[in-house]
Amino acid sequence: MKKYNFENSSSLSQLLDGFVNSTIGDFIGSDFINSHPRANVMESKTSFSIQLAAPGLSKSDFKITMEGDQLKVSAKTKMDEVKEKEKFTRREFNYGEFSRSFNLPESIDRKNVKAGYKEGILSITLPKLAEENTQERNIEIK
Amino acid sequence: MYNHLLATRRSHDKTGANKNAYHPQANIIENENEWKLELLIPGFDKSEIKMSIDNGLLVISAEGREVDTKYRRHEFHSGAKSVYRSFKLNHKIDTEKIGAELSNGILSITLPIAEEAKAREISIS
Repeated sequence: MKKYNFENSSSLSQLLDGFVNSTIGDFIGSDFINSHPRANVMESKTSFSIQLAAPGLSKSDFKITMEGDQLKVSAKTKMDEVKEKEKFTRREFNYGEFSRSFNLPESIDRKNVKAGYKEGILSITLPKLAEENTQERNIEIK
Repeated sequence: MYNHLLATRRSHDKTGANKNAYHPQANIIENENEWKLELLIPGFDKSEIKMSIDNGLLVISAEGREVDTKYRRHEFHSGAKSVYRSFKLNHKIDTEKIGAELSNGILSITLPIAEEAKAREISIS
C-alpha cells in the first residue's frame, strides 16, 4: 500500500521533475516500499533542500555520496532482521533499507552540502553557488 | 480493516478531528503479552504529540506548524500538517499500563493485554 500526497502537484512541479528526480535504479529492489523512501524537495533563494522520510534509523545507518551530478542516499540497518520475525497484524509502513538518487543541477555548491537527521527526517541542504544568488539576470524583450 | 484487539476505522476520525489533519500510517505488531502500535509521525517532537484514551478510544494527534515553504516535490508530511488517528481498543487491553515512546519519527505505543484476558491452560482435576 503506497500513497503519495502530491499536495503541491501542479503542472509546474511536474515539469520540474526532471530537475531533481529519482533514477530508474531506485525502482529495482525486492520491496518497493522498502527501497524507495518519500522525499520532499524545497527551494529557497540561496539553497535547495531535500527531506527524506527515514524513520527509525540512526545517523550512522546513512550513506550519502555525490558522484558526477548524482546525489545518492542509502540506508542500511540491522534492525530489519529482528523486525521480520515479528508478527504484523497490520503493516502500512516499513523502515530499514533504502536507496534513492537525485540529479543535481550544476548551480549547486558541492563543497558545502550538509546533512542532518532529526525526528525521522534526513535533511540535506544544497547551497546554490554564490554567483547564482547575486547575479540578477535581465531578460531582454525583443 | 478490522481485527479483534484494535480496530482502526476512519469513521472515528471524522468526529472531533481536525479536518486538516492527515492520517498517519500505522503498523500493528502482536505477541501473546502485548500489542504494539507503531505510527509514522516524522517531524514532530515528543512534546507536540498528544495521546488520550476516552471510552476505549485511543486518540493520537499533533498540531502542525504551518510553514511557508515552496515545495518542488512533496511526497510526505514533515511536521507542517496536523496529525490525527484513532484506534478503538478492545476491552482485553489494560489501558492503565499503556506506554508510549517517540523515536526518530516513530511513535511506538505498547498495549499490554490484561492478565485476566490472556490465554492460559486449564488443568483437568
